[in-house]
Amino acid sequence: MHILPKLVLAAIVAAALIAAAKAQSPMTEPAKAPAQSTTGSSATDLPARPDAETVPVRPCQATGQNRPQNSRARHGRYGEQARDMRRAHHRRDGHDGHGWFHRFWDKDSGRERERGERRMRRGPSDQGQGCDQGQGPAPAGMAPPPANGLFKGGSAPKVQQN
Amino acid sequence: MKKFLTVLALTTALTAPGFAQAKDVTFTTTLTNYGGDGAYLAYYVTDATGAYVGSLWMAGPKSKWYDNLTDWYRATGGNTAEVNGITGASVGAGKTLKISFDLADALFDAGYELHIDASAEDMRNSPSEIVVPLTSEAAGKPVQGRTYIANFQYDM
Repeated sequence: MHILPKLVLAAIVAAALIAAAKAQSPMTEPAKAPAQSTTGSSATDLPARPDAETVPVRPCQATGQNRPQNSRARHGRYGEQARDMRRAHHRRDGHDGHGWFHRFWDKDSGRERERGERRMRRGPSDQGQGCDQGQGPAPAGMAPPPANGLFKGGSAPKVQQN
Repeated sequence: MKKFLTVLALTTALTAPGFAQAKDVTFTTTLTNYGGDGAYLAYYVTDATGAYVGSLWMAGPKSKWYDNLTDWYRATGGNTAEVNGITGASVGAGKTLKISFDLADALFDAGYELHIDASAEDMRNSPSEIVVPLTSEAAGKPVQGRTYIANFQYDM
């Protein structure tokens, strides 16, 4: 006879805990526009979010010299790229509903991280996007030969391989 | 008949100087069976002082490997504009690559040299594997390479 009220009480306590955890979870926190500080010296002022910055796009260079100096800082588990990958993963899989308790039970995040690390080890992909693709100059026939004074009439060389 | 001969003489006189300034040249490169992936080859010309003049052909499409063609890369800084429009596929082991050019006549018998840098994936680089003078005498004579190129010759 006394078991049923205890079960009901336990369920209520559990529901309250889960609700409290959800309220604390950074993943369920709605995006807020940063408050404009009028004084500029308040201790509660937050630094500008990095994704709010406008980063100028660097032009592609021909020889892959645009690789960052410290690639660990960009590509490590805690680097910029890892952060972007985490964000993309959460956007894609809709993890917002899981709350704080489930953040460590993400089944596919390990697999995805592994995939990302493998890609970084291999280096820039031949089919990838971005600047450092290792793609080469225009093939013969797609552009005139360079004006280096060696070619007469601007005709492209003819090639045969066997 | 007289009119035809006049026209013929006139057209010959107009076109002959153009032919005199250009040479049809064929490069024939045969690779050894080095047992690797397709080799990248850079064909380029240096002057009598050894200074880089220009590139003639790049066998290998991906610029990310161009730093393995060390002499060419040092001379050009890896600038892909140097081989824009004169780039083709890499050359497989044991294969023969024939390239036909319409080259400037001034390039021959004037102290210029043709260099070929070679490289293959996971194998050693071979800068200036072939160096031949661009002269009428050297034409038609095969030259042996060190690592990847079994022989090379140019005909004109």
